[in-house]
Amino acid sequence: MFSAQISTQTAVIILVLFGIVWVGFGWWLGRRNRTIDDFMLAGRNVGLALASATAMATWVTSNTTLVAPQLTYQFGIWGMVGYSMAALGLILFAPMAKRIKSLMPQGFTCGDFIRVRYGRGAWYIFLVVSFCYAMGWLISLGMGGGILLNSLSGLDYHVGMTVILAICVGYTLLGGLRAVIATDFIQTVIILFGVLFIGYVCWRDVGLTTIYETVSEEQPQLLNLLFPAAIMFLFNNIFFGIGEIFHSNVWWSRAFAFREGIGKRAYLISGLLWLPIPIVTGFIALAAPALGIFPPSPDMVGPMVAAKLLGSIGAVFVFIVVFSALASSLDSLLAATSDLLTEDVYRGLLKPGATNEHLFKVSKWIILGLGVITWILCLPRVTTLGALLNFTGAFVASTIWPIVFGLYRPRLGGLYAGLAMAIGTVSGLVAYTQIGFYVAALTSCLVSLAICLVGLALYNEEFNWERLQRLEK
Amino acid sequence: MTPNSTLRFTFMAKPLLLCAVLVQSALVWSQGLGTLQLSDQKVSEGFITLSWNDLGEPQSVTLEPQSVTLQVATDSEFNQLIRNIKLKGQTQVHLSGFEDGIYIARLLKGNVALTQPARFEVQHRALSDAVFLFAIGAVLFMLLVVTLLRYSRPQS
Repeated sequence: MFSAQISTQTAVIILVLFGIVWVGFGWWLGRRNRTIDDFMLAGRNVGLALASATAMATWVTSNTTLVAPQLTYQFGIWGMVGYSMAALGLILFAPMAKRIKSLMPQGFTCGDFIRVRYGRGAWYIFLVVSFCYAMGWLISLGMGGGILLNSLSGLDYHVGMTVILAICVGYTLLGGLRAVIATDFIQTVIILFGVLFIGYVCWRDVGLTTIYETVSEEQPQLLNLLFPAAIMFLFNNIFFGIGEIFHSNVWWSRAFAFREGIGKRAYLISGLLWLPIPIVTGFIALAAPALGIFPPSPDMVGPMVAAKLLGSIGAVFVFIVVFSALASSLDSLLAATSDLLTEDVYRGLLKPGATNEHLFKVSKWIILGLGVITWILCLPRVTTLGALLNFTGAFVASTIWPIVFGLYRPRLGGLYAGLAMAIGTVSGLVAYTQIGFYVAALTSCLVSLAICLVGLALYNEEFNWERLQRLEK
Repeated sequence: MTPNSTLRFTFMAKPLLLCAVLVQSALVWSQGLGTLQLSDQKVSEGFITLSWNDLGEPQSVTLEPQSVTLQVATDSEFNQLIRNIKLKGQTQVHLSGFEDGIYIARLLKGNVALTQPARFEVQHRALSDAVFLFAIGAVLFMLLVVTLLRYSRPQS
């Protein structure tokens, strides 16, 4: 499929080397983990550099390296800009991270917040939303790894998917969040330099004039700023990204793990650093026609252009960059979902009296279990999982307003927050099926806001913020 | 294999193999042109996936990935070509950036058509609908930003 591929043997060597380095590093970092706080929240003492790097690296997923070029190839300038606007999720979460840390200095998960703030009804709805989203993302990452390794090196899908899952489960299991954050830092450096280098080579070898002339001749709509579908897509993607970040324990667990006063700056820096990445990865997709590349599938355009520009070394380079992007998201999601299940489902629902030592062990078993479940669900290679991820836009966007009002306004009650999430999600799903994927998140967010506003107007009881400090059961 | 058997293979098996290939080719070619499958007959986002499996060509004896040309035109005589793309080793291609219009696509090898022309229509969504959704999104987004800025101001 590619003009320059790497041999399966080279791919296996890289995978083995990465596996040894990452898992060994995880083990080395995990030696100091003594308590559940150490394991789940890296001792709540992560500094600014590591904090910014882990937030940025986690948000650079396989979607950033595969879907941003795809959206540029399909929606043109708006696709590229729209995807990069997902950085707004990180930037807007910055003040919230500060608020979260100050409200719940001893908090573990976003589920803790919803339970204490809104009560059990809203908490159950939230857990369903959050778990559906986390599993969708986990499976898409596992599958993405297998498909990409298969495309670049011919390595069997099942082998590639299994190896990448095993490596991530391995070092997350051994090192906990400390290992996730430390590997994210290294992966950030690889991703940043890799993406910038590919962008530079594209600019140097193809040139802006050639790209512009070829696109305006062969794909004129891509340069049209009044491209209707692309205009519709823009804000939907923004709300999808914001919903993903605002509700997910991936980001909440980091807010708890970062040292006091770090969260706001770390999320701002990571958002600003992340912003240009989809622009660069998207930009190279515009060079495809100039290079004579017409991909079989739109999500392969980025790697195909990079491989063509950089030759066989480029394919190795792409392999390492995308592997890093996948791993940095997979490990974070494994750790955060395990936290949510350990704290909210196991301690919250099954064993309220469990000791911290017991939970420490349970969280490791849950990481392993999540890895196995993800692996089983990835085996059939269901190609519609990309669509499933878009489907989750309706779920996550419904949580935006209940979380924002819940953090700052004492007068929104659990009934309205729960209804906002449930009815918002259903409305988003109806819009998804009746209109299109590009309105699901927007509809969900709009309906959810309307219900929250009604709740704010009708509900008169004021929430006592100290209940969050005490993490009341 | 002894030297004698190698010789026999060279003189006997090769011509037989060639005959088999020619017979197979003739059989397949006689079946007519292949079909160009479209992801949609009518698209509203300006992108489309075209795929082909049966090219009416003996795939099993093609050692090298075959090189084909995909033509997309606005007329059925293919005089007004919009795309003329060389593809190698692909059985599918995703094209994007089309403006409103009716397009005809076909696959060629050299100057010989491999597929029947396939017709698809591009009609983008109404700009007024798109602007309406854009406006709702913009208002909602501004509301979120203002809310966060207002709430996260340091309190006296």
